[in-house]
Amino acid sequence: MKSFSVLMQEYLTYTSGAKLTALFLTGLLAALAFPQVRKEAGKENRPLLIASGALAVLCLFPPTALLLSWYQSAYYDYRALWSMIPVLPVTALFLTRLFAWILCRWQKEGIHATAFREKYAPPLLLLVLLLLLLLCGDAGYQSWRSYALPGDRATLEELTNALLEQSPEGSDRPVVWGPREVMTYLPMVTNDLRPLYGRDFWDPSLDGFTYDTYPDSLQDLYDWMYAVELQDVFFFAFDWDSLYYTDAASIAEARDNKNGIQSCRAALDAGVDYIVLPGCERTDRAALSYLAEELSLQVIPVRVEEDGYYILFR
Amino acid sequence: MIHLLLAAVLLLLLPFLTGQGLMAALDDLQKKRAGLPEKYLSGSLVLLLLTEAAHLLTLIRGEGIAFCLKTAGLLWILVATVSYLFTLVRTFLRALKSSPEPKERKKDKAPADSVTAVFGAAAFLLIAAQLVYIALGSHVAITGDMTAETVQTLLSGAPFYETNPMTGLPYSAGIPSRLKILVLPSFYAIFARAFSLPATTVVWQLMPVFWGVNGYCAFAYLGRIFFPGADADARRKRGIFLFLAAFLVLASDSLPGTEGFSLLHAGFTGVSIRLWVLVPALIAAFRERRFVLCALAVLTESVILWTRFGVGMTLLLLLSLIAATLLLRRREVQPS
Repeated sequence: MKSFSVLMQEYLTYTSGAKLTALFLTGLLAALAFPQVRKEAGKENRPLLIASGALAVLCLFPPTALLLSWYQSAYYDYRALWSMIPVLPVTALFLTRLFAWILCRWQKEGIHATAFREKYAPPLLLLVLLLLLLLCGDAGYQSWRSYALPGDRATLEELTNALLEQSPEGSDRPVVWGPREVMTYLPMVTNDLRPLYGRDFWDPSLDGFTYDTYPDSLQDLYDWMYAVELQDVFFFAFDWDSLYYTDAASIAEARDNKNGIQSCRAALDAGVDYIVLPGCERTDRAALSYLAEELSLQVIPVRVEEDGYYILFR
Repeated sequence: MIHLLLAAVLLLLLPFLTGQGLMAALDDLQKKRAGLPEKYLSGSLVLLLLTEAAHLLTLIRGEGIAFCLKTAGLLWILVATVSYLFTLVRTFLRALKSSPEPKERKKDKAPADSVTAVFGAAAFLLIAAQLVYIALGSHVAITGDMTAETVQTLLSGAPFYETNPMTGLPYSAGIPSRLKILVLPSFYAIFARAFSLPATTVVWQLMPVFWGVNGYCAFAYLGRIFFPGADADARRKRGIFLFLAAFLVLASDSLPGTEGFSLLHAGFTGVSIRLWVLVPALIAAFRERRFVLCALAVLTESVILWTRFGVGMTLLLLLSLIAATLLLRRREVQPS
């Protein structure tokens, strides 16, 4: 069963973001408190309002939410619980009644009135109401970005084509190791390349899809590539003389760690055929050449001038 | 592009042909009259359930996508043909009896007033803009979902669920069997294979539009149930309702689990389909006492979402609606 603290975390994320739910609950409360609203909502809709209200209370009260979360299988998070509650249909029902009432009165009296307020106030009120409603969401502008496919799709497509061009026909599926967006994109578009690890390696929301686990040895590789993504290592010219170490062996080791010689060598030993490194204007090409020379690798740039990639292979 | 258009045409025609016969049969039994949205919606759910049959058969036989495509294709064509023939025969028999129903219906229809026209046009524009936005496929949320990877793996032709979609390697410990019966990846893979489309095009572009259309069919159905009648007032309210439903999609696009987000960014997932299609369809079907449609919605959820007992949240909603109805009926009876 999902732990209470995890549920509360998901609960807070939902309640702080789902503003339309507040409007839905306001409508239900108004129907509960005012007989006129209940009457306007329609007698035949009362079972729907009662059922929606009861389910909403079950979702809002954390202990019952935990029970419901267990019922829906803990694989889905708290937000999915709300997908059984007709928030939008019920809110639209309330608002339709309100809009129809205002428009009906306006058509009967206001439309023929001479006073500006009576003639134009109702439609303006509805317009303002609609604009206020838009404040509840962002109309497709921003909300999806933090859940979207990382990276530029055109660049990733070009990279995939370049990788496929390099792999000889009929050969066994080559293994690719690269930044997260590459490892995310490849399994979605081709069966001819095999990522060293998948998106489920770092995304805990995908844990429930399989009983398979990854070997611990991949963690170091992931950590180094993640650091490269964050541009912590590899990209910037490195002043070896300023290192704290004084003996040549320590300097060499530090430099190899920093430039990923050891990580890349470990990856090649693990069966990786293509190493993909992010490339951009700031990339330290001297470090890249050093890496390629040390490991006897060839380098192919892919759209490097537009934050692309370098493909390294034997 | 032509392949994508062909797939879209098939997704428009096949559910309609299937749903037409089903709703005609239900209409005869219940003495009701189904509209176009209900026909399309029910046809889509039947198609998905037929795909589930093909998917299970493929799993049991240890086959791949080619077998699933053949089996599902045969089932779809068979059911759509039978359904269409049934409708034809029914229409023919009605014509013999010269039923005056359509004429009466025409007479009942009041002309639309300017408010209805404005809201109807605004609803149409909003819905069309949203469907175009979805069809672009560039605003997709993928966190917590691996449908595209699973479809791509199914397209390799290997037996279902033997390969890990994330790594391309055979599963070592396997996956939960409750996941194996979920039909959406197969449904999407069938279209990708049949029309030679990339998995991402089907999953991120074609199918969200398909489910988006189905959702709006459910809302049109709900509008007819909330505001019945052919008079000008009911038509105006239906227009406003559909417009507000489309507008609230924009207003509710804030985070996963909301209707707006589900439709605009994750229309291919089971959770989105439940929220966007099944829940409104279930409410409308329950209000109209079309329990076959309610059962279709509950069954559909069990094959698209990982549920604990094979029954999901739509069943809970249905039970809540039944309990609330009984409670109100009891309260109405008690005073007398």
